[in-house]
Amino acid sequence: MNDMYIYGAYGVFFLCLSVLGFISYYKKKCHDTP
Amino acid sequence: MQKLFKFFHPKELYTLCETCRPFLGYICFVLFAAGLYLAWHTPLDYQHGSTIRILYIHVPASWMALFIFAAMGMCALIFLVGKIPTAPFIMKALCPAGLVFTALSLITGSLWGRPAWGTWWVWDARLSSMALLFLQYWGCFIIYRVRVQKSFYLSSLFVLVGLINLPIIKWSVTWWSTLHQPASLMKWSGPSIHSSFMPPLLCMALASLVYTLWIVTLRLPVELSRVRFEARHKTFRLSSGKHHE
Repeated sequence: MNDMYIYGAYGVFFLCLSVLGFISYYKKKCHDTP
Repeated sequence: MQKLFKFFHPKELYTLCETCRPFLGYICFVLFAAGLYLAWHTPLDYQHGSTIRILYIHVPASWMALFIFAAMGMCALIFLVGKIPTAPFIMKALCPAGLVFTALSLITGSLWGRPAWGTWWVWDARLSSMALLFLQYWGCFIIYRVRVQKSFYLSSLFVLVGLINLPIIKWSVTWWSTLHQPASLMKWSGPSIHSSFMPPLLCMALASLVYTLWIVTLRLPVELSRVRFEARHKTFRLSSGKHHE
């Protein structure tokens, strides 16, 4: 049962960081493309 | 002071971001991988068992939430007192990372609280002040999004006033009786947690710090160039208007 909370926490953590990283990377890429 | 001006020059900042970005990306990836490995290969807590692993992401997220807001406060001060125009751009680049880390601190804290305390949320001093910090980041984010006139002055003042919340968050567990546990790492008498929990915790904290720097190196050049473009556009409009007169 506790594993559900652990995997949930790690899932949310890395999902949020990936989304922010992707958005930032995408913005930079769009900006760099002439 | 001259060195400070030189460091905050748009060209210097742009070059620094472009140079550091690839290294920061790789270092961040390696540190997160190492942190995950250590988190799953350290002994479990005798009371909380495997749920201790949540703290390896909850504590660094909380540290980063506070650290980023303090850094934003520093930038606000440099902008308002030092009159350095590029400082608020760093503040703007830091804001989304701070918002995400604060949200993560609240979410992972809830996921820790349910098995450890038997509840997802309680309105105690630590949790409430952290929720307020989230609203402060959100307010800043909104100011930047709506692009009100003099948004940099407004956000700088907003952040400077909001700095009052940081010591409240830090010492809320000492000043009031809270469900949240008292400080066990950053205290005068030294850390009270077992030394085997330190490597994954520090590794994840360092990874989070490098991740924040990586985000700044991605967002800052875009913000600097966008404003340069807008300034140029404004100059063009002004000059064309003058021409028509």
